[in-house]
Amino acid sequence: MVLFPPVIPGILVHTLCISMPQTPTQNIDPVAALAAALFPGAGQMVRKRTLRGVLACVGVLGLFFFGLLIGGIDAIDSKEDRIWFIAEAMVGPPTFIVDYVHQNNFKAYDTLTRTTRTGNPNEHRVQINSRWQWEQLTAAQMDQGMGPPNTKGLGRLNEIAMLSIVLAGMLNLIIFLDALMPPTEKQNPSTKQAPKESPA
Amino acid sequence: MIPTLAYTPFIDALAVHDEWYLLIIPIAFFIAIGYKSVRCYDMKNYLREVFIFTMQILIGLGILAILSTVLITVLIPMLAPVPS
Repeated sequence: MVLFPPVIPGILVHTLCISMPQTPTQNIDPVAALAAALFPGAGQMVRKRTLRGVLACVGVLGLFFFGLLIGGIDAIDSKEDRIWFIAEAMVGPPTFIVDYVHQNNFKAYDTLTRTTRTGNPNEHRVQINSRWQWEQLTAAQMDQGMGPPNTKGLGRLNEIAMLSIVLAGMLNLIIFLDALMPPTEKQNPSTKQAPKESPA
Repeated sequence: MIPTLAYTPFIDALAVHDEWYLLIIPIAFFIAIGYKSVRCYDMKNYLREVFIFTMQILIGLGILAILSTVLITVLIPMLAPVPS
């Protein structure tokens, strides 16, 4: 017996439908997802889960600002720490704002290497022809307390600071997915009904 | 003129080079706050679950630190002694 060709895909689809487990339909909310991408915890607030949203925001921004407190503004650097920055970017706009400020208000052009970089302790930023450049300080200027606007983060503390902000980004990814697809009632064991006792 | 010697919070790095291992405590705490905000079924148990999760992270990392120390300072020198 020869099966008519269109029947074969039909059988395959039918077999797949039987064999694959039926998952509960997730309530996907694009507005909540957009809010979650813009600010940590905002997705939960859009979904009327305000307390969870506020606590998620405290967790993510707590890690974010703790990282900045440890490592300074140098902990976020899209030019010199590109791989770290990709993970840090999952925090959302706060990372991009801090990186913009870092690149434009703290770094300056080095005429020798022809790159923008953080200043050394014996340099200061000067604006020459509408471009910020590093200029060597004299001993007298250093005695007066002049120097670069920030110091470069180095060593283990810089790594811990970047790690803290990366963890904030990864945590925000979990929170984003929760805002996009919150657990259904079936997935929540606290809402399960207790099994009825069978009559003896 | 820009002063350089003064420490500015969130701009310059914090000078806690000798106490770096203590920084895991606030990091674990903030992770627990954020994670349990979306993975806590009943918010009545939230603080308790945050505390338990924080302790799980800290104790787990402490055990890993002890095992790593034993591996590096005891086991590896026993298995592959450095010729004097």
